Formats: sequence, structure tokens, C-alpha cells
Amino acid sequence: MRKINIRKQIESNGLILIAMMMVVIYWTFDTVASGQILTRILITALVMTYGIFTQSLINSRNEALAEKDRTRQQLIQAEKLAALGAVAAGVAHEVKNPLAIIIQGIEYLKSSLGSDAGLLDASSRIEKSALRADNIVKGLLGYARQITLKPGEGDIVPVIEESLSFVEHQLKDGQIRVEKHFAPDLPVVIMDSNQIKQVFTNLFMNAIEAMPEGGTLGIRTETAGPPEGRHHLKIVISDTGVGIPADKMRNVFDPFFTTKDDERNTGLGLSISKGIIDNHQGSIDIESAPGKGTHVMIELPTGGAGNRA
Amino acid sequence: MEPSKSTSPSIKKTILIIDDEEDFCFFVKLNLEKTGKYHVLTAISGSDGLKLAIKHQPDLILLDIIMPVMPGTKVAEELLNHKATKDIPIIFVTAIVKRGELGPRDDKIGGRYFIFKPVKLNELLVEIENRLGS
Repeated sequence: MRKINIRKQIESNGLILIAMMMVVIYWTFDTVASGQILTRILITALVMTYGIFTQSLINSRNEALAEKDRTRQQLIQAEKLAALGAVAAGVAHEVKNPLAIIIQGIEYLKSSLGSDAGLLDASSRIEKSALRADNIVKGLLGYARQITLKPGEGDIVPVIEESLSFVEHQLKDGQIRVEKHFAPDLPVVIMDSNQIKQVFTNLFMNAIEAMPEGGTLGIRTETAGPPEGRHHLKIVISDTGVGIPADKMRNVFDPFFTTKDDERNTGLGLSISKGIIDNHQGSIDIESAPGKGTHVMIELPTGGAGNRA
Repeated sequence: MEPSKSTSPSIKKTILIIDDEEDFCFFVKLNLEKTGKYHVLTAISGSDGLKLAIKHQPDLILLDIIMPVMPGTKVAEELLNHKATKDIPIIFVTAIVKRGELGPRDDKIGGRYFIFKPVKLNELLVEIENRLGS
């Protein structure tokens, strides 16, 4: 059963309650005294009007404060991202130097080991790990927004399909059905397709991990935007998974924030995705409710006259 | 690091590595010399590198960008301003950018050639050979 929050009720309706109590007290005393019905009605109406008017003023002020708080949160978020971007760039530089030494060192060892297959294999494994670490650093650099987009005009559908193929195995293992609704004659999109693939792959993985018992991954595309304004292509990725609790929604785009227990999860997926979409002059929004799944809405600017080339 | 000096064959090209990462210089020198085609001088500061470049006039310089005291960009400027070194090709070696950040021509920024740390030996050799035209 839904619990009533008395404190919240008093905060939002307190003055009305006080006014009503005053009326009750007045009526009680007045009933004892001589009954003047018109006076009673007039006073009751005045007190009620006063209460309602004052309460609405207070409610407006609370809304304004909430709006101010939202703006402040956005600013804090932007500052955090900027600070983290700077740190990420610094870390990337510091890590790349030792990686360069490891890779050159391994190359030297490999060329000196002769034909010992075991040692050559060991060297290759070390080299592979160093290259993997380099890829992680590249991700951080991407996060630091130092990357320059290589935008071109392209169809979104092949990009979606290719990203889906990256998670094909996980979809099959997780017993997840894919429902695709691609609108006909979609306009081309201005994008760096490699980066957009990274976004879709991140989102698909999130969706899959949100549906441990299986479910449906929905992908829908549609055009958006006013006839005179800049057209956007909208892509909605939805899942029927566990959803995100309301108190976590504010942080979903924060770097290193994760709702997953898996320690391999870095919590960078959504924040990197947001960075990429922002760089494309697009937008990304999330709607979610526990037990009801999650919808991620992405809008990307379309190219040319907004029509398929 | 003590600069190593050429001891022999004139057919070997001389490469000067200027990088404050001493171990990077060490391994790149080993790897390049192992090919038998190059002999390598190393310097772990911009000022030492500049002196070596003027003294030995190498065929190619691999130049790190972020270095204390004298950054690679300053070293490059000095090299260009010196008549003994102004024609020596330079390849910047950097950990601060990556290939994806470059423009339409993938190996140049502002007319300069770049390689990106961490670089694999075969990629490094290709770049060096391209610049030396060997």
C-alpha cells in the first residue's frame, strides 16, 4: 500500500490545513454564541481565500527554487565533466608513455627470442594486453573531448545493424528478441559513424544487461523537427528490463556512475555516449521506471535537404 | 642518456631520437639498430638533442613534443632556424594526440609528420622509411 508522506502533505498544503482548523475553531465558538449565518460564511470565505492564495504563492516559490536547483545541478555536472576531461587527458598522456615503452620493449624481446614458441606466445600476450590498455586510454581521450569528429552523411540503419551485430552473441544468450521499426525513406544523418556505433553498442549492452531474464529490445527510428527548422532523426532504443530507480536517474550520465554490480563496469558508457552525441549537436534523453524498462531517445541532425540522398 | 655515436658504415642512416622518456629511447634504439639499417643517437632533453643534431646532422629526427624545459615544438623551431639542421626531416612522436584527431591526410599536422605513442615497430619503420625515401 502506498505510504502517505505526512510531512510532504503539510509542506504543500500546510496553510490550507491551518486555515481550515481556524474555521473549525471559529465555528465551534460561534455556535456557542449567537448564530449569524452570513457573518460566518463571509469570514469562512475570507479565511479560505487567504489560505489558498498564500499557499499558491508558496508553491510557486518552491517551484522556482526547484528550477534553480536543477540549473545548479546542470552547472555542477558541466563542471565535473570539464574537470574530469582535463584529468582524463592528463592520465591518457601519462599512461601512453609507459605503454609505448612496453610495446617497444616487447618488440625487442620478440625479435631476440628466436623460435621458442612458448616465449613468443607469452610476449604476444603481454603486447596484446598493452594494446588493450591503449584502447582504454583512447576511450578516456575520447571522453576528454579531444577527438575531432570525422562527420559525413550516412544512413543510420546500417550503423544500427552493424552495432547490433556486435552484440548478437549476448542477445542470443540472454534470450532477447529484437523488434525493429525503421521508418521508410529516412533522411541521411550527419555523423561520425564509428562513434555513433560506439553509442549504439553501449546502449544495446545496457539494455541487454537490464534484462537478465530475457525480454525485448526495441529500436525505432523517425524523423523529427519542424518543417522550417533543422531536421533531426530520432532513434528510440527501448528495453523491457529492470528500469532505473527515480533517485538514480539524475546521475545516469555522470562519469563513473553505474547501477550495475559487475565490477568490470566502468560507469563511463553513458557519459561517453552523451559526450559523443553532444559533439554531434544532437541530444540524448532517458526515461525509465523500475520494472517498466527504459527508453533512450537520441536525436541527430539530418543532412542535405533532410531527404534521403 | 649518453649519446651513442656512429662507429661504422656510411650506408647506415643516422636517426636522432629526442625524448625525455629514457626507456623509450633505449628500446627504440635497440629495435632500429637491430634492423641493421640505422644507427641511432638519443637525447633525453631538447637542449641535448639540439646539440647532437647540430654536431651529427642526422638523416632524420624523432622528436617528442611534451618535454620539460624545452618542448619539442621549440626544438623544432631551433632546428629550422639553424642552417646545419634546417633540412633534416622531423617526425614528431607524441602521446597527446591520436590518429583520429588528424585531418584529411592522416600523417600530417600543419605540414609536419606525426607518429603516435604507443607505436608498433613495423609502423615506426614504415614511417621512417617513408620519410627517408629508402
